[in-house]
Amino acid sequence: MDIRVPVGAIFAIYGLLLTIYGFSSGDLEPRHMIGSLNVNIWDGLGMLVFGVVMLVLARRSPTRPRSTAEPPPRVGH
Amino acid sequence: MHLQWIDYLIILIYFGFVIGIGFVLKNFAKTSTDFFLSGRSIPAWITGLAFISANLGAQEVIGMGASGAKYGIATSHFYWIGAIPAMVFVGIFMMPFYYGSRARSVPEYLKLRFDEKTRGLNAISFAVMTVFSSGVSMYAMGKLLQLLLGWDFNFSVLLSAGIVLVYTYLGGLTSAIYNEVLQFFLIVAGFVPLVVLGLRDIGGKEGLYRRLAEVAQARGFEPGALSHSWQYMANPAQNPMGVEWFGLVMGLGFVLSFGYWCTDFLVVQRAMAADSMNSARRTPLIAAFPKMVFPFLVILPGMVAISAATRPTVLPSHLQCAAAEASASAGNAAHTIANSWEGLIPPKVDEQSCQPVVGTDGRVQVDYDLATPMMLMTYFPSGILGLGLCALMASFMSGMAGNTTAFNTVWTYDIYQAYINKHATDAHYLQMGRAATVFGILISVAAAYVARQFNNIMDLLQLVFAFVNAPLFATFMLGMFWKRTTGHAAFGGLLAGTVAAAAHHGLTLPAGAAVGFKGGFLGSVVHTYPSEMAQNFWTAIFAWTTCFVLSVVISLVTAPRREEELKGLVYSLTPQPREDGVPLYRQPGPLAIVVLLASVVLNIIFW
Repeated sequence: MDIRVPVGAIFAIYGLLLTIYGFSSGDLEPRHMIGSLNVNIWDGLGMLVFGVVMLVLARRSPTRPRSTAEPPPRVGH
Repeated sequence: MHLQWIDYLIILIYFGFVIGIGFVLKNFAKTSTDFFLSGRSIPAWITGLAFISANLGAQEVIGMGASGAKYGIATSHFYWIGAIPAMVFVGIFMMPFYYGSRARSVPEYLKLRFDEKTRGLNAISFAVMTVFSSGVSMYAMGKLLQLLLGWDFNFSVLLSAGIVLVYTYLGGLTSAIYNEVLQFFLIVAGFVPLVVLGLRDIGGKEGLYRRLAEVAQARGFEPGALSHSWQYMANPAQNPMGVEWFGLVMGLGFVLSFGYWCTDFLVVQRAMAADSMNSARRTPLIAAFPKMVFPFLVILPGMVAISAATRPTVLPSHLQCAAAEASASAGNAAHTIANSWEGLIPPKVDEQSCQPVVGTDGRVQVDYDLATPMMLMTYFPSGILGLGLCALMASFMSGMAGNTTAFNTVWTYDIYQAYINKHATDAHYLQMGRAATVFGILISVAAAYVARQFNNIMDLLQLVFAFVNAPLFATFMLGMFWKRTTGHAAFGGLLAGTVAAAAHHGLTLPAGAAVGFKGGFLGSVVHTYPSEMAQNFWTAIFAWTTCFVLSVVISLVTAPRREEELKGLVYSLTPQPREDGVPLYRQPGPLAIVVLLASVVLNIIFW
């Protein structure tokens, strides 16, 4: 399993959750706001983007740990 | 503190992922090399992030926030002097031996380079140390969650132990590494917004510096004492750390830092799991980049905490009792507690008696360890609060997992295989590694409860570990760079260094401390240091010097090993790894130069 799969997946899920929760809770106290949006929305969107990028990268060139019980990969491409 | 469903959901999803990673990686751990060293197949960027996350346990996150509140910008010395140079050194100079010798652990390198007894000494002290550190981690997590969220101590300890057990048992080191990388990103996602919100609330950089100057003066220092890292280091009385630059650079920057980063198997194991020599050498260098900017994520919240005017609406449980007590008596007590906050950091309150803790100077002490947790509770609304707590729990648990994986490796390779059962099959050692994971965690849980009952026993143990660790780097340095160094010298030097550390600690005392754990227990106090930190730095310097000198002397009177036996283990007898055809940005040398330059620039900016 490529490490970017679980990291990407959990960030995408957290991102979605925080963004939706952020919009549904609306305006909060000033110390929780950045501009006109609350901090959950900002962090949620950031995590969502990061998560999706990780998933895309993992899909493009998957790398995974190799067991020493498996034959070594061929060198060169 | 009342969490909402969203916070619980975030924490639950994290637990689910962590255990899921363990199950997926179970099929990968087929041989002992897979289980203990990830089959030496992990790319550099992953081992690099794991290298830094294994070090970024929750005690580090909370402790550095506390130090930020106590010492201000000077706390960055633990990063820019106390880590970066040593990380560069281990990547450039030591990895060729560690990775190139195919040693499977740090104690095993000692066996190859010196002899069996030196390995045994290092393996046993390291194994004991890791299970206890893991226990202390569990204890700290249980206590914090109890204070903040009112969670039952037993529940927190058993839950975290259970989760760590499942994923390290199944996936071994790879599982631990994957979760460390996940923890790294969670810390970033959880702490960047904390710094942004906190800093904005106190008026940005100018507001911060203005407040730091006020706090510094209130504590009896020059206005700039908390906002400069080097300017007040000439005189220990002028900086809140109470150290002078020589003790700082030699004690922290050289002995302690090199001793930790270059010889502690907990971090070195991550580099040994790398997929090539080039990756192994780049592991600590890649790790150095995030390490350089972590002060902005973990120290800055502590400095914001002493500057903030806002306080959280719900107090930690032990403070609720104190507040109720105080308003009931409505006299002096209320006055003391209310006035003893520093920014949003509450005073220290005794959990049993509900009374504020008064220090030797007659003033109520501030509970700096609560700086970072109080920041989370003040600035984060539900949702991201769950994420922040999740990041904190992740760092507690990956700290435990890091210790567990280091323990099961050293136990299996350096104690079990070396002394108990030499010629078993690989499958047997894999089994033993899994069994060691189980009993390692059981001992840690026991240690967590011991720590809860008898705080002093843990203080004593940590003191002993500090004595054992202090001289280590002298042995490694001599072993790697002077081929004449002998096994007897290494063993004798280590023992003498440990004794020297204990003797120095037992004959000195930090100012204002009572005789006991803090020092002076050998009957007389020869020297009084301006602070505990200065005493620790000098203990390390004494231990290192004793080990170094004695090792040289013993080496000169004992027979050296033949040179053929030392190939690949000593600098002068090992060909330097070649980087032909590797692009410049992937070569350790240029990376090291960039890292060192950046750290010099940071030191100058915050001078």
